[in-house]
Amino acid sequence: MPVDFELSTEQKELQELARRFARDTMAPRAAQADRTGEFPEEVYREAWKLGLMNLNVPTEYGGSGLGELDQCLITEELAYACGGMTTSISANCLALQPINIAGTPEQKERFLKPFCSDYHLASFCLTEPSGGSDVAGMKTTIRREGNEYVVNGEKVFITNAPHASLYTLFATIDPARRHKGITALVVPRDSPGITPGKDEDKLGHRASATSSVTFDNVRVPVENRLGAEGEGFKVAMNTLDSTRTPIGALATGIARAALDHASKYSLQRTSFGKPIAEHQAIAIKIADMVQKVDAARLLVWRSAWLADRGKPVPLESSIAKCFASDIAMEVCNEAIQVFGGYGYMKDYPVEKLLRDAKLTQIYEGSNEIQRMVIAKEHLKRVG
Amino acid sequence: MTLNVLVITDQREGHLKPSSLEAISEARSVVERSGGGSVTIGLIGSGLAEAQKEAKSQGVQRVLLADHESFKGFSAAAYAFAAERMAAKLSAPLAIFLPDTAMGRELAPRLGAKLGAGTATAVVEIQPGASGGLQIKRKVFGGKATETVNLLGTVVLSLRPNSFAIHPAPAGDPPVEPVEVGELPASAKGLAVERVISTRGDTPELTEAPIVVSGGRGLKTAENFVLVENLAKELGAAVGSSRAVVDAGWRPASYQVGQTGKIIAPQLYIACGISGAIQHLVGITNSRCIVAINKDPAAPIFKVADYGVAGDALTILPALTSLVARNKGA
Amino acid sequence: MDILVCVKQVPDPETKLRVAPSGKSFDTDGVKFTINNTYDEAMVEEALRMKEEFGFTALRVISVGPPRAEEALRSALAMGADEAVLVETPADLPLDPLLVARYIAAAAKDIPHDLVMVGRQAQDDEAGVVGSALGEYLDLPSYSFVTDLAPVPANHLLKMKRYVEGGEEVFSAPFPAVLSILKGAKDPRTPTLPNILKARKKPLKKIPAKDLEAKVSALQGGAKPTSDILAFTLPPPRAGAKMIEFQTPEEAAERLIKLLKEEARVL
Repeated sequence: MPVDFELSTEQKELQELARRFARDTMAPRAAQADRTGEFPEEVYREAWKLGLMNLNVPTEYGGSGLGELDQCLITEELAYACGGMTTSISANCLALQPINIAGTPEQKERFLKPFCSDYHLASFCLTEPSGGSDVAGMKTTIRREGNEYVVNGEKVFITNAPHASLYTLFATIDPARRHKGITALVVPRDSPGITPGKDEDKLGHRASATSSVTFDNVRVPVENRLGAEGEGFKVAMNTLDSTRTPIGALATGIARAALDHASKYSLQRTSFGKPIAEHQAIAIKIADMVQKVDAARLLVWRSAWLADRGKPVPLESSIAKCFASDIAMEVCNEAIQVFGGYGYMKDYPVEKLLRDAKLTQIYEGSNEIQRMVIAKEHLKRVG
Repeated sequence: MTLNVLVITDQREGHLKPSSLEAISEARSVVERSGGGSVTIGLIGSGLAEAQKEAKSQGVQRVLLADHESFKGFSAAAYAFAAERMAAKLSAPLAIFLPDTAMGRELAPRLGAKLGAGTATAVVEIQPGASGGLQIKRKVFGGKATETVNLLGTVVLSLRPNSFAIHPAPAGDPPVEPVEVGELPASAKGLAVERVISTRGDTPELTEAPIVVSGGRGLKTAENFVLVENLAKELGAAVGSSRAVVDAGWRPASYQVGQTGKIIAPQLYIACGISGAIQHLVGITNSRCIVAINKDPAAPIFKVADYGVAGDALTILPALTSLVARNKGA
Repeated sequence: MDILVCVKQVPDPETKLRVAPSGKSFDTDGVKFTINNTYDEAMVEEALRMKEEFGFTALRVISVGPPRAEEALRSALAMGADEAVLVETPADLPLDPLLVARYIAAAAKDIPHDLVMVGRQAQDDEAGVVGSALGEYLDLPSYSFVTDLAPVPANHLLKMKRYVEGGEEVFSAPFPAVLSILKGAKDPRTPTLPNILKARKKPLKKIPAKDLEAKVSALQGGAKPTSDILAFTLPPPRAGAKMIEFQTPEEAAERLIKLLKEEARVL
């Protein structure tokens, strides 16, 4: 099939739905949630009602079963209004994806269906205090006792953790076995021994809740294991492969918001008797921002388009995530510069965008890891 | 090119409304600019004695009358049927003018369809065409653009209220001719008006008022909305509101100005504590003069306003009200 | 008992208008068309309420327009309409609102309709012509500016309120009829994502405008438009408000009133 950039009628509708929700429900609450760090759960409930959560849950379990491109279209629109809320809304996709990938039909029935029939949040528990990127070095352990596993350890930077009803947890049956010891478990939040830590006070994404979770002799039935013992590493990696591109879309949405704010401002604000957009120094900034946002979106779409055709996209998804999040920082930074002193003030919307953009370079695989992957994948193809 | 114009007036409350007088005045003017012809007033309704008298004094050539029980409640099908009979009494080239009221807006298209006429609604300017017919202007896209439209053959227009001047009528004593309408078609029967709920208080109707004062969220509380009403009272103005005020339940939906409320074109619009969301601006951009009073000097309303006061409506409004009251006293 | 709702796809109200090279319309190049016309959405919602509360059985939507108008129909389907019909017009077909009404009337001859519902006006040309003109072409009564609607299906009667200058009229009238609604009872629902996906499977029939030409020609006015747009012009941009300098509210009031009297001459 030839490359085609035209969206289907249905994709335009999904985009429109997300755009309206972003404009009417998210945007009006974004500044306050950013200021107070509150968790605007009513926004998330509304997102759930409209079907904007759990996008990747297959239709047979009551979800929408959307492909990657559809998810990216929606994510960009949501992030345009608020990156933090988008992270919290999208967290279910990340947390439920291991069940999509490795769950048995019985497990999918048991775990996925409740998320589509009612509003629930789930959290993906992978990163540990000692590191996120070095997954094989994780220290949280599981020990089998009869028909149960006993979990001990601590996870950090877990999105939605204090509000989630279900955790997908990655832990090791034997740290010495490195990645071959990692096993995935589905852990109900109400299991005794689970304690979420305090809500982290973050630079950005302040509408999203983030905390640590400690597991103290938490007992999990064996039938909650996803895949076989030792298959957890693969499940985690496959999950991150499929959610990486939407992170690129999220970053693109933030960048587009910065570009729009800066463009409008540059046409309104006058200096030396004309709109600053007519000064070359500003026009060049705008031109560069336009190029970057456009290129980021195209890289995101390519990766998603390939993934939807069943192609493995380790290279393309890393390029999309890394590039989009890097340019999001650059574009937000330039947007503040276009706004001048006003841009530095919290009364204006652009400084928040910069703070929100920063996280996209760090989470779901830091851009350093992405670059390592990109170089490795590229060099593999050369030599 | 001469032109015969039939003005179907709106006298739902027994009298010719100002918007009808505007249409009649413009009809006289267009006939004059066309190099002659005639103006005929068509009265359709029930119990039209007063309206007849008013019509006779409008400096027109004829008054046609369809005064009958069956026209008591407005039915577009019935009125269009009667208007067609009236039109048949006039010779081409023919134009039919209506005021763009709720009645005129519904009747004009139906009549246009019946006659196969060039039809336009909410017209703000009319010129005789170079080769016959009429050239009109109308606002589109919420007042953001203007269309110039050429209408050939028989023409049906509804004229936007407040857009045409009422010039003094020349003297005259036109004959009143009853029109035999005959049996109405089935589609024109069965409409029964039970009662009319008047919302007309001391203040004039939003869509007709030459001055409108509106309040928005910047007034802080429902109680403070009185400040807007006080100024309106002193100015003899209608009262409107932004959508936020209606959503908050401070005032009923009939107050709402904007895309999902009323679209208005007064001589003077005063927006108090309204930031100027696009949906509101769409409803007011045809106003001749817009005044904005808002605490936030960056509010979008100042972009479309002619005069701006960057201050708190809660303190500016009482000052304005007492000044207007003092001036009236002087 | 069947409802037919007429919808039109319009440019996004936030879109920046530019004049087309012809000078006779807005430039559609680069314009985003909204899927939903605000007034039509209110109408679809009201039609759904008729189905849900008053026993109407089928809700069909129709649009006359270019292929992209399918988006407006899909959106109505996602809100809950059952079927859609698109009268597909070629880009070079001259149309005016009355001719659009004739195309709808021609198509409606083959679509059952006890109620025909139209939005108060399109958001772009703001003509508000199609509703009552359809009444004429379909030989049905029409009721406009309706603010409250309660059918009594057993008697084929509609109990309604409608806006008139200065108030509201409470009235009743028979149906089948054409209705144009000023305001629905409920805010239009947002189509949910699952409903958008389900709408894909609902029937959408496309009729080339050419196939209806004979029927359209038979109606008063025929197959040609009776009006012709000569020019589409944009006003010069507003310069922005003249800001009034003041120390006290009294001073602001005095300066403002003086300007309104002497400069703007509106008082």
